[in-house]
Amino acid sequence: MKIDNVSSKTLILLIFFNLPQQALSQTPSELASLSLHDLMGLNIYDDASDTAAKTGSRWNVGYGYQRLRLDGYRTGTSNLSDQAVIFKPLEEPRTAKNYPVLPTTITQEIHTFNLNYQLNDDFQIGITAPYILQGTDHNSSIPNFDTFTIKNEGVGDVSLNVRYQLPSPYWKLSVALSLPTGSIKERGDTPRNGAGTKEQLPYTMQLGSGTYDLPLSIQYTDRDDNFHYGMQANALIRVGKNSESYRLGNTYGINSWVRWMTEYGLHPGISLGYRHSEKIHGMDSSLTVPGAFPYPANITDPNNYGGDKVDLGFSVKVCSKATNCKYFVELNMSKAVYQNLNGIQIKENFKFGFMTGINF
Amino acid sequence: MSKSIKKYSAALLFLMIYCCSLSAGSLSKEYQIKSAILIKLTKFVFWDNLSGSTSPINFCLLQPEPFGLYIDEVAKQDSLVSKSHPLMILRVDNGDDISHCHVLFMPKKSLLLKGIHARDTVFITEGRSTIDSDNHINLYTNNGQIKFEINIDNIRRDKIKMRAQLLSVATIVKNTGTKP
Repeated sequence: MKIDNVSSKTLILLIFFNLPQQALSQTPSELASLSLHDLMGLNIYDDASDTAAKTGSRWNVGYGYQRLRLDGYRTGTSNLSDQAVIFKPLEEPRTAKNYPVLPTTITQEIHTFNLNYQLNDDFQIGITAPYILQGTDHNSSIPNFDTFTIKNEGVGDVSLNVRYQLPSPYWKLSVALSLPTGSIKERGDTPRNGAGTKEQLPYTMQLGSGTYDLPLSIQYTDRDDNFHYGMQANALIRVGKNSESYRLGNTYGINSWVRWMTEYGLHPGISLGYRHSEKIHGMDSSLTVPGAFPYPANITDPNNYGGDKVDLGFSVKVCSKATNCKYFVELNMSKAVYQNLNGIQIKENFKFGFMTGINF
Repeated sequence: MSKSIKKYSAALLFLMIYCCSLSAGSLSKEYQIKSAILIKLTKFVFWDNLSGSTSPINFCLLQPEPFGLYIDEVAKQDSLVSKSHPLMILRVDNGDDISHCHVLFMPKKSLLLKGIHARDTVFITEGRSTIDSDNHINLYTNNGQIKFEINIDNIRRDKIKMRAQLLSVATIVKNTGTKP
């Protein structure tokens, strides 16, 4: 009978999933026989594997996916229509505030792979490698380029990370070096030299910064029986100028979050973050055209970058066991609830992503 | 009933039973280990009023405490293998007389007792730093392991006698404004 089949499968699954839970328990006599030093070496998240229990998990492998979408225009805190930004040759004069090429939608997908190793109680080192796929849809007032889409993909900037546990148990410091492994010489068929030619793509379509960058952060976390919460201050400091004679702007931010630790391994959370980013310093002159108005699109003007944003985020973390996040999947979504942008920019709509990891 | 409804029903049933089995599960490993560490800490402290006697060490837990009977069992097992004073696990409520407690553990969910100076009582907290408090020891989690800090100023102030081995495995903290 089908119902019996369902019941037996359910029972098998229950046994399978509950075995590790049972393996977590240690008898009072086992624990009482350990030295204080051994007890302090036990990991509260590990299974009963003797070696792992005494040393803790040292390796962490993770994968993350994030999708970002930008559409609609904004200057400062005011929205602009696409029609207000695109230059209409027969209806209005060309100015520094309208452009013959108008990106209408920018989408970016980032697949992030990371590997971390816990050197000792205080230090963790790691490497993070992103793979980026991005595309921009355009409208334009240039003949034969009424609408067009440019896409590209490739490895972004790889970063090497060191995380340090400060003497207080609540604070962690993270310092990283981001290497200029992402291309800044991506090319595509734009209207700049007519159809069928490949030109240097704007800053938004490059895969890396082209500079050695320093992502820094300091994080405070605490918990009680029901909630984990924390704050993080972060900065992305960019050094020097790249081979195309520009440097992306520094970014500074602060985030706070709280996560409800339910008993069922399902942990919802909310976050609020503020970030300030600077304009691009210098410029890639190959993106300009001769004449009084050198920028054919807003995204080719280095002054149209940076600003202040406030993001509101929601997430759900699913752990393999109620008291254990040895394996986890976290889904997250955030929306910019406040944007004060420099110049004329396409605005951020939403971010969606997930990440998963395993400690071993 | 369609196949998909049956599948979803089975999945829902599985989730409900799994969640219930988790919520009804035993004490988390974190508190199992904390139980044993708390009991073990008593082996590194000397109490003048216990010297030369076989009186028990009164280990008080401020309610609400998270251990249940697990810590009683750890104390019982420890007493079987240890030749030192037997341990007596006692539950106390806020406002109770604690003068008989050799150790008072204040869990995260309990109130943090302040301004109490019971002679010879070691005050232990969980996840609440002892810096600029009246407490002596604080348990915290670091990279999945249970660690503890000892406030050396408060230990000296209250003349608590500890073995040097305990200080060597603890994070030593001082109150702000104390000269190094």
